[in-house]
Amino acid sequence: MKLKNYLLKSLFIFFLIIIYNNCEKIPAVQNEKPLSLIFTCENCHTNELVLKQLAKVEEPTASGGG
Amino acid sequence: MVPLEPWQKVYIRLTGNQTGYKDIDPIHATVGCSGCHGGIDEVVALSQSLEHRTNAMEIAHTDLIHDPSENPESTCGVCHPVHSANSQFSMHTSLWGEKYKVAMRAFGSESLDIHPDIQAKFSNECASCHTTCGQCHVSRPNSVHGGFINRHKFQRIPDIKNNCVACHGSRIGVDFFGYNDGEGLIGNLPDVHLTKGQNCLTCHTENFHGDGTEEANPPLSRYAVNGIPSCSDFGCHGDISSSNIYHVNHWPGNSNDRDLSCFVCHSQKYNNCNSCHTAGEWKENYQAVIGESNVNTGNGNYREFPEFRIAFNPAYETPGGWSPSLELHSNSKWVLVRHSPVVRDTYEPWNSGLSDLPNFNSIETWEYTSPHNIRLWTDRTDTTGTQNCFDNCHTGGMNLPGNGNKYFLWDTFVDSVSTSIDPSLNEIIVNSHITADGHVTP
Repeated sequence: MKLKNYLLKSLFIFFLIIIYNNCEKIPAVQNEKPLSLIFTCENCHTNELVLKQLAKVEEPTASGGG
Repeated sequence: MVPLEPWQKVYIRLTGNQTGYKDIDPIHATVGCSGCHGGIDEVVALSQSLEHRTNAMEIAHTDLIHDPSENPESTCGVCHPVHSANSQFSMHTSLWGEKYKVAMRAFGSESLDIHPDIQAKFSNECASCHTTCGQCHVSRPNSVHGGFINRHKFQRIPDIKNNCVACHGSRIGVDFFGYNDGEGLIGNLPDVHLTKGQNCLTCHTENFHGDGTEEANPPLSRYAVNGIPSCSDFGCHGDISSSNIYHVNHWPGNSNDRDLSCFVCHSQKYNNCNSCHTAGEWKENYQAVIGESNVNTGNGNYREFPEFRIAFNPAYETPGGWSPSLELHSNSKWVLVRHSPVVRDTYEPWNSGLSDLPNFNSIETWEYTSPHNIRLWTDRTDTTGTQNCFDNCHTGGMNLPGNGNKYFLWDTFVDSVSTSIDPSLNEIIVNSHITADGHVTP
């Protein structure tokens, strides 16, 4: 009986690990990254906070159309 | 389609253990951002103040190329030379059908080349959404103001809603998705192919990049593109020409003068447009059309309205027919037609002497159409509760189109629509060769 319980618990944990590994990870919290003085393309375009601040100044990059 | 917020359009969201774009699209990341987009890779801001960071951003964006694939030979074409070379002359990039119709209505010519000023304005406005590599494989197209589809990851297969329908929305999109949450034509159901889990690319297997023949032989209509789908492609709808009495009597090509295109029976009502006008430099200043109407009410200067009209096929037994661009579908005497949004002063805002298209009558304004809202059971095919199989279509008798006033394109109907837009328009002249008046007895 004890062995059976251990087996069940092990299986449960095993499946939890599999599920965890297959899930998309929680997005990195870009907003809390320290702001850098160095502007590279990726520094800004992967940082939601920076884009929200600067996009108010910058017009949308895509031009309009029909 | 609601445009994305400015920041959303250019946001590359990293997930999990991703540390940069190289983890999203490792192949294209090897080129580097500035490799395609120009600009300056690294700029140091003087401080964290918004002003200094804004200045840094502006410096980083010096000579930025928003859409590098506008010049594919020096960008995409380096690795994809065949697609890049062919696509310059594809229907999607060159917009042959639209260009042909502008040229015909303006000059009675198949080419706009004879008038560089008009050609330039066409390129700036009409062609601004037809299209670039990036507008199918990276971003939403210009017509909906852009924005990454999936974090600037290059998509081999374009997204149906964010790419295809973003441009082909007012007609094909409205047709295909049916009425849903206040969008679409009230009463319409989604196209049966959609409900069966199929999408645009299930049927449209033609080469969207062009097959290399278009430069020498431009297709002057979407229906003249090589490989355009038909209902029997892939064996989906094989030989069912005698599978029921309606098919026996009306199958296209039966040469019994009652040949109907598949759409006549199996389409639902569809969106029509009227009185669209150019707006100058559309590419830079696109805005919603003032007075644009709700498709279900049809009010306003620019009009959208639901209709279902059967007309004589100008290409019937004469490929080319009235419209040289209409090469196919010559085995159906009766086809569906949809009103094109053109009016005589459509191009007046261009200020190029086109305030009254001199050759407006060269192409019908009710044009051959293939609505993407197919159902097995429609107002024509569903005979539930009727006395006999003819009640929906032959209420005037077997040999008369008794429901003609309801479905056929009569002169009086053409006149009523054009008069409601502009009493001087008189579209009967340009459509008289396809109206039912000359081909059936009411």
